[in-house]
Amino acid sequence: MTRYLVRRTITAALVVLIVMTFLALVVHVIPGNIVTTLLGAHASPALIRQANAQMGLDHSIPMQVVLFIGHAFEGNLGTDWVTHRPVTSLIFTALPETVVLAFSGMFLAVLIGLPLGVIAAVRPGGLLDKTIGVVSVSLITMPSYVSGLLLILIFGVKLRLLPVIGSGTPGNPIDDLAHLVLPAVALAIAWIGYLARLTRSNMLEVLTANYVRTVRAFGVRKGKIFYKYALRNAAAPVVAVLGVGLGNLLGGAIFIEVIFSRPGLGTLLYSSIETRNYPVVQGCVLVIALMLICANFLADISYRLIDRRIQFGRTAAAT
Amino acid sequence: MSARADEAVLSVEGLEVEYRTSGATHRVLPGVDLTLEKAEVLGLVGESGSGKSTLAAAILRLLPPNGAIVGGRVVLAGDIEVSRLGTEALRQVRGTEVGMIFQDPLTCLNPTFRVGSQMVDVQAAHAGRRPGRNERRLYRRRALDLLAQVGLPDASHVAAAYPHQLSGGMRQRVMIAMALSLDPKLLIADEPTSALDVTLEAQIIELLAQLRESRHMSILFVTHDLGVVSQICDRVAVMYAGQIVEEGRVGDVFAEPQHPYTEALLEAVPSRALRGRRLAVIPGQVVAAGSMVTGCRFANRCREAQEICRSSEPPPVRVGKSESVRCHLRPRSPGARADDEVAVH
Repeated sequence: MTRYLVRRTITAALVVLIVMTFLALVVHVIPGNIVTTLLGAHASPALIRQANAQMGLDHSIPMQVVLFIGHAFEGNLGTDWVTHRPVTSLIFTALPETVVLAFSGMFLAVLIGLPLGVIAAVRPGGLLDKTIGVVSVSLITMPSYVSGLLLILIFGVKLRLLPVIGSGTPGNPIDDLAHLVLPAVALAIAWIGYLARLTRSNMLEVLTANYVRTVRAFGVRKGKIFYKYALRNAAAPVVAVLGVGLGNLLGGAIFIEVIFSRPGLGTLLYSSIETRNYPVVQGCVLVIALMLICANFLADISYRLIDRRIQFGRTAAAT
Repeated sequence: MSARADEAVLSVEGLEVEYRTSGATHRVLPGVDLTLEKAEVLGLVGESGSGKSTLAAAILRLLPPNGAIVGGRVVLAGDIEVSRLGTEALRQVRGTEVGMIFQDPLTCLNPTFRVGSQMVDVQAAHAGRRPGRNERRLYRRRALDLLAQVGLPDASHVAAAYPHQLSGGMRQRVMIAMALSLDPKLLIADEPTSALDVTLEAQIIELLAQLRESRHMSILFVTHDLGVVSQICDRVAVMYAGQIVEEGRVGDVFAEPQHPYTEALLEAVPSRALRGRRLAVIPGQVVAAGSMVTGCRFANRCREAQEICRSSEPPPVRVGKSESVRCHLRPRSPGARADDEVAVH
């Protein structure tokens, strides 16, 4: 276990380094000179020089990579080109909002999707199974920005039940929660369908396994077989998918935050892309990558804890 | 038959099983009769696909979803008719009347639970009401007891292990301990040693033999290994293409096999005496399970087959010391001597 954790941490660190290198280089990969793009074609050479120096672009390219990584480890992700505030402080204000949103979405998806899948597997081919199947597939096909807009239209505009703009007043948890409901649902919808399908097929596969036949042969009650023996085995792959899913949800959160005008990493990234605010973009992408790496790390460990056959000694798939 | 069936631990009468695959139905068991007395060990032997595992599974109605019992009866302990039990009654019979162990003990134990907790759950399933903490502690102690009884001295360590942390032999011992935890009168062992190497196989057979002595348990031993049968079984039933073609006491059947298939099967067993000589094989293949056959099912591979064998199905008759043989050519007609008929390869 310890050896596995060490090895897993090293791979994760390597991935972080690769991401950082890429982010430092991305400025040069994008067509056009970023400084002239930012300052306009008629900027004076002195201004351009100053901008280059400010963004560290006056160093050689390898040096830029080293500096970027070095600064990042010091917690310095550069300065916002527009407001001149440090990027880290911008990100740390935005990050909790996004994390709360993504986790709420995932929580809802598991809370609804997993039981739906289990119920569908009780009588495969039955009416309930077919209904859940149709609903799940419809949900999967609905992108979060479409469901987000629909939710705003129905619950915000027509029914006027829930607030749809912003993230609530600070210090008022009930208001915060009310503002969180619709964005979280919008984010969860596709995943509810996906998890329901995944859980159902896992359950059906597991139910044909020899170890299920064994407990049947020993007269263990059907309900117990279903909810204790089979569900635990069926849940292992679901947990693994959630790791990847968290990344997907973070991506979805960008749209959702923009649609619901919530402050957060997504809104920050979106607005800084619009203004070609490269230091902020780099910072946001780096933080999102870090979160993804952490999520995969946690998923790998937790599904090893569920299914002990997956040994800690073996190297896991790449982050 | 019926007089005997009253005392029998297991009585299978005219059991018919069908499998459905993509529209077609295959009659895998065309009507099997089998009786197992108290404290008796019956070996059920046959090639792969002969229907022996299907028969074993059908006894507790554990057939896969596409399989169904379409005729005949299975009677346990003289008065429990398995085919007529409702869901709950069937559940209560499983494990308590009949224990079952399987071929591959790795895939037969749930990988996500500790061995001990599976053993506790099996006992708890037959507790009547939901067991409290005290009962569960009792089951746990009983589980440890049984693990020690089946030759796992470090029982608490084994109980705390996940199945993959145990060796194949240990896992099969765990399965046996689990079966014993409900004190069944009959144990169905479906190729319990086929996944083990020879040393472990001998140990498991030894263990089963001991248990049978100490517990007066009947065992239905499903295997394709005739050597194993001669070690542990009292009687043997030879299965071919869903039918029992010969049945009798092990000593009698092995010394004087009557059915040509049994003969051929025994010739195909490697032995030290035949060292250096080419091993006998049975040419051809088993007729596909459930395919319609008129006449004897073994006819297309039988070296003695004659016209009658292909046209009408032989009924089971007592021949020599074997209790039941399905062959038109047995007993041999007075003129022919056994030696003439055994073809020289």
